[in-house]
Amino acid sequence: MPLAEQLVIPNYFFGKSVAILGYSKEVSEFAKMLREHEISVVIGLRPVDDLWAEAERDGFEVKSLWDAVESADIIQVW
Amino acid sequence: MLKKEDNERLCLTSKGTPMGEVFRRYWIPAILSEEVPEPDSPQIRLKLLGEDLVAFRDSEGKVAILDAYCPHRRAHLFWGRNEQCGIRCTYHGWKFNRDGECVDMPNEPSDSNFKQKVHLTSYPTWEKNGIVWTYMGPKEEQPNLPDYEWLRAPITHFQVSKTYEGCNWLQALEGGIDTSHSSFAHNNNIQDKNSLRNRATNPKLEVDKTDYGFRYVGIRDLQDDGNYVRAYQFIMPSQQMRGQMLKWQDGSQEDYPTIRGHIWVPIDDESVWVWNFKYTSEPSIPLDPDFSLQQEIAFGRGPDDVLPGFRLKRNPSNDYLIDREVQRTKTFTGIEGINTQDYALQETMEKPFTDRTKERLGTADLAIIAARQLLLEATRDVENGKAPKGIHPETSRNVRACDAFLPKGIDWREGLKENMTAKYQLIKSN
Repeated sequence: MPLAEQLVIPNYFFGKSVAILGYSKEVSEFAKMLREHEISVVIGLRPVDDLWAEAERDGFEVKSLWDAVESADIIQVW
Repeated sequence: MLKKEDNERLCLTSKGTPMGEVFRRYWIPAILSEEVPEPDSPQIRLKLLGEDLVAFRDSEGKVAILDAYCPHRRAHLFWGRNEQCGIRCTYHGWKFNRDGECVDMPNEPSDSNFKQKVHLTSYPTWEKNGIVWTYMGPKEEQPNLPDYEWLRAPITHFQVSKTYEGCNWLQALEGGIDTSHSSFAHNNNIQDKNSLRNRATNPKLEVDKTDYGFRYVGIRDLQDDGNYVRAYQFIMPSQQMRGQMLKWQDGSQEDYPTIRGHIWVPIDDESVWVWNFKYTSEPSIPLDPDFSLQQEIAFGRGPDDVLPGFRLKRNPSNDYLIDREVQRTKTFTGIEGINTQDYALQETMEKPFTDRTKERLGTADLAIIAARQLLLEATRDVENGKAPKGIHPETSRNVRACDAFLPKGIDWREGLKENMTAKYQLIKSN
C-alpha cells in the first residue's frame, strides 16, 4: 500500500496548527497531506540539520525546534 | 538550550522571583498529614520555595503553616510550645494562633496593645488524602481548592509518599516528563529484548497543548501486536501523571491497574520535595497494601530505603550504592530503585542547577521544550497580572493518564478517550 494511503489525519487536527520535528520520508508525506487539507504545518529542525533545505524546497516553513514547538497546538516526533 | 536569563527565570523560586511568583499562584503540597499527627503534637520545621516555616496541628486539629521566625527577636519557633490553639515562642513567651495573630505577649506590660500590631506570616492550609496543601500567594489571587482525580479517590484506593531530592526542582520535573529515558535509565533487564519499552526505544511522540498544560504520548510500534501507547499528563506548574495498567515486561494486565504521578515542590533552589502518588484506575478495585508496598520498594523508596528526613539511603554520598557488575550484566545503571536511578542522574548535574546554555536538545525532548515554554509563559502572565494556566481546578479535574494497546490506524485521542477521562466522581463542594 502506498505510504500516503497508510497515513490518516485525525479529526482532532482540523482547525489546529501542527509542528512536526524531524523530516523523514513519512513526515514529508504526512505534512503534504496536512497542507492539502489546509491544516497549518511547520517543520522543526536543528539549524545544522541537512534536511532543513530539503524541507524548504518542498515548500514548508521550517523553524528551530524551540520555535516550532512554540508555534503549534499539536507537536509530533515521528 | 536556554538563555542564561531564561534558565534562571525558571529555576529560582524564592519570593519575588518570576517562577517563585508562579508557584505562589497554585495550591501546593506542603507536608504529609502524618508529620503533624494529632492536635498539639510537636511542630515541625519545613522549607518551601525558599521560605523557612513551621507547621503544627493546633488544639482544634487544624494545621497551621507559619513563618519560622518569631517577629520579636527572630527565634525559631521549632523550639516553641504547641499549646492551646497556638504556638508559643520559648524565648520570651509570645504566642501565635494558626492565622499568625499574636494572642499573648507576657513579657510586655499587661495594658499594652502591642500584640494587636504584631502579625506573623501564615499560609492557608487544606488537608486531603493524607496531604496538607498550602497556598503561599496573594490572598486576593487565591484559587479554588485542587480537584485532581487522585484527590477524589478514597483512601482505600490511594497511596502517597514524599522524598527529598537534592537538585533544582526543574531538573526533577524534566526527568519526569522525559518520555524516552525509561528505555535506558530504567531498563532493569538488559538481556530482555522483548519488554515493551525495549522492543521500540524511539517511540513516536505527540504533545497536545491544553488549558492546564499538555497531554503527551509515546507510541511504540510493536508490529503485529499493534501500538503500545503511554499517555501522560503535564499539569501546571509541576505535576506529571502516567498510567500503569499494563506490565512493562510483557504487556499483560496489572493485577492492580494504577495511575501514578509526581508533583515537584521546590524546597529551595538546590532541593525539591518529590511527591509520589498512585491510585487504582478502577473505582471497583481497592489498592492492595502489599502490592503498593512492593511498588514503593521497586521505585527505591520502601521502608528500608528511606532515611529520616525522607532522604534516600542510596544517595550521592555513597554513589547510590552502584554495583558495576550488575551494571555490566543486568541493569542499565547498576543502581537499584527506579526513582533512585533518576535521582543519581539528576542530583549529580551541575550545581546549583544545570547549565542549560550548554545542552543539546533533540527531537525526543519535545515535552521538555513544551514545558519550559509553558512555564516561561506563566512567568510573563503573572508579571502582567494574568492568571497562569491550570490554576483553575476545572481545567484538569477530569483528566487522567493511561497506557494501553491500540490497533494501528486508530488515533489515540479517539481510542483512549475513555481511558483518559476521570472515573472518580467530581467534588461538588469546591
